[in-house]
Amino acid sequence: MTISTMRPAPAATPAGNIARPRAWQSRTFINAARVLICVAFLALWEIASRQGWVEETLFGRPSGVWTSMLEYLPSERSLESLRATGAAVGVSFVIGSISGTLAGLILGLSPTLNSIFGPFLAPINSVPRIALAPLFIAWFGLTMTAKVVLAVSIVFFILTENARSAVRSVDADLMTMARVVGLKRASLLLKVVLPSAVPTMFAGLRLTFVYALLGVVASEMVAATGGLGQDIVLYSSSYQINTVFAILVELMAVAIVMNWLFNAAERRLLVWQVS
Amino acid sequence: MATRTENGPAATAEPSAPSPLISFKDVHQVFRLQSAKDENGAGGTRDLVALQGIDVEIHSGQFVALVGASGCGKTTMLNMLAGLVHPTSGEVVLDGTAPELPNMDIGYMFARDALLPWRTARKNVELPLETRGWNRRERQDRAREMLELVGLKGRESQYRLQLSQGMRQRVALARTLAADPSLLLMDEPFAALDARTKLTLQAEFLRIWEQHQGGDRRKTVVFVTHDLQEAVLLADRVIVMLPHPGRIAEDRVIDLPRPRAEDLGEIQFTDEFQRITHDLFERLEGAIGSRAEGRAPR
Repeated sequence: MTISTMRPAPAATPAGNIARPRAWQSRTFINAARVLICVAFLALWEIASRQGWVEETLFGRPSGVWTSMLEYLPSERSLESLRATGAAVGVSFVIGSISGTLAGLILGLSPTLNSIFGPFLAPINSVPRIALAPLFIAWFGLTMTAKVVLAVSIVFFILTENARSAVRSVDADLMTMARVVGLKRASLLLKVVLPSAVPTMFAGLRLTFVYALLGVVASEMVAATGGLGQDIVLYSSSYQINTVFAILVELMAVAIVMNWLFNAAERRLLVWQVS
Repeated sequence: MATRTENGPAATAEPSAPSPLISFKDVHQVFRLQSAKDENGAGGTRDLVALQGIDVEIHSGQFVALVGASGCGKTTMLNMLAGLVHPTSGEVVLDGTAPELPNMDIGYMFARDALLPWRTARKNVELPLETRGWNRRERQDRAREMLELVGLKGRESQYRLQLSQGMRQRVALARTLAADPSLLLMDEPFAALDARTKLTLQAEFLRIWEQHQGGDRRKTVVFVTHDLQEAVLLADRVIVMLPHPGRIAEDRVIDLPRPRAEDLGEIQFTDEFQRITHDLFERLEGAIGSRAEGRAPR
């Protein structure tokens, strides 16, 4: 068969290039190094705090963070905050990604609309959104709406830009092929344009979640009736630094879980990208 | 003589044939390009003459190869037949009318496979059947049949990235042939393949074409290539084109016997084949040489 001629046999590679992986290239070594770095960092922090090299009230200490996590995380207050923040992030992620993607698709598909609205995107997107938090809070009060609007104002523009470029960068050969084959309008959109935009849009969505979290927490830190951002401000102003770290760990864990979910979804949706 | 030069539009492979399937009548194509400022400081746009005074007739069932260097307008002629490009002046007639997009009786194959990477091989082959209103069952059966025809039985559920270059082009060939179009437009379909895969695919394609793909008549093929050998090997008739401006330099009938599919490897080394390619090569290169001498300095 022709296939056999197309891939060079492994034996053809000079033996020197595929020599046994060296010790420091092995998987085990890399994992061990990672664990070691984390342990060393935590140990140094703990010692520095215990020895008084750094002020414990300002820098906390890992053992203290651990205790705070056990105390704070299961508490009524923590769960309430997590729920408030989570709901706002969820709502803004859904609203922001749907509206942003739709806007991007429309701009990408309509040259007229794109030339009208396109020039506004970059200037508006360059406004530091967190600076708008006081404004949104003044308009919407200490409500979830204020948080959501701030987060959406970040997410929307990222996804608009993302979807717009995804749609416009459809492979020219594929478009020509599709037209010759007889695809038009709706079927062209559904069978060629949208599927080829999916990988780019997915990368955008993954990024977007982190920004939705950022927007909500930032808004809560400025002013809110509850949420993890509000807790961070509260505990740091009362020098309960260990609890602040506990909340940061919690936020990190949420982001990691979400990222993992995105990976799983991506693997399912984009099987065709794996050779 | 194994070859004869065609004189005028009346000469075709079968002089008795009725009105041609395809005719280009004094076709000109000018592309307006945006360009940086030229030496006169004018800048703005620059006209590129892609085709100049093209007169060609192609009869149904003929396998015509358009050969030439890049910029000679051969792909533009193909795109005109597909209805993707309309001539600046002159007339292109396909089956009695001006080509319109989309034409469901056309199969178009590209140098790059143009497979939808998110579809399996089978679903890619089904694409032209979807726009032609075949039902699901018919599409699946047809796609399986076509993939088997191009030697990809068992690969139906693989995605583009899981297939080798050669296999991708096979899938593309299956897709091109799936709806059984009577006109095949092929734009350097085997150019991206390595020499051996190329020969295998040429033979397979020729076998399918020569056996009429099970139908009662041969499909008309317009085959664009920059490879003179490929053109002579496959086609009934070779049209040599020259660039700047794109024009026809030579139009020859290739009298090599058919079917050729089984002996492609051998034909390449026959005296007859070598003489024909040598002749055409001199025509192609000679014309380029004399043009270069005669051209005014820019």
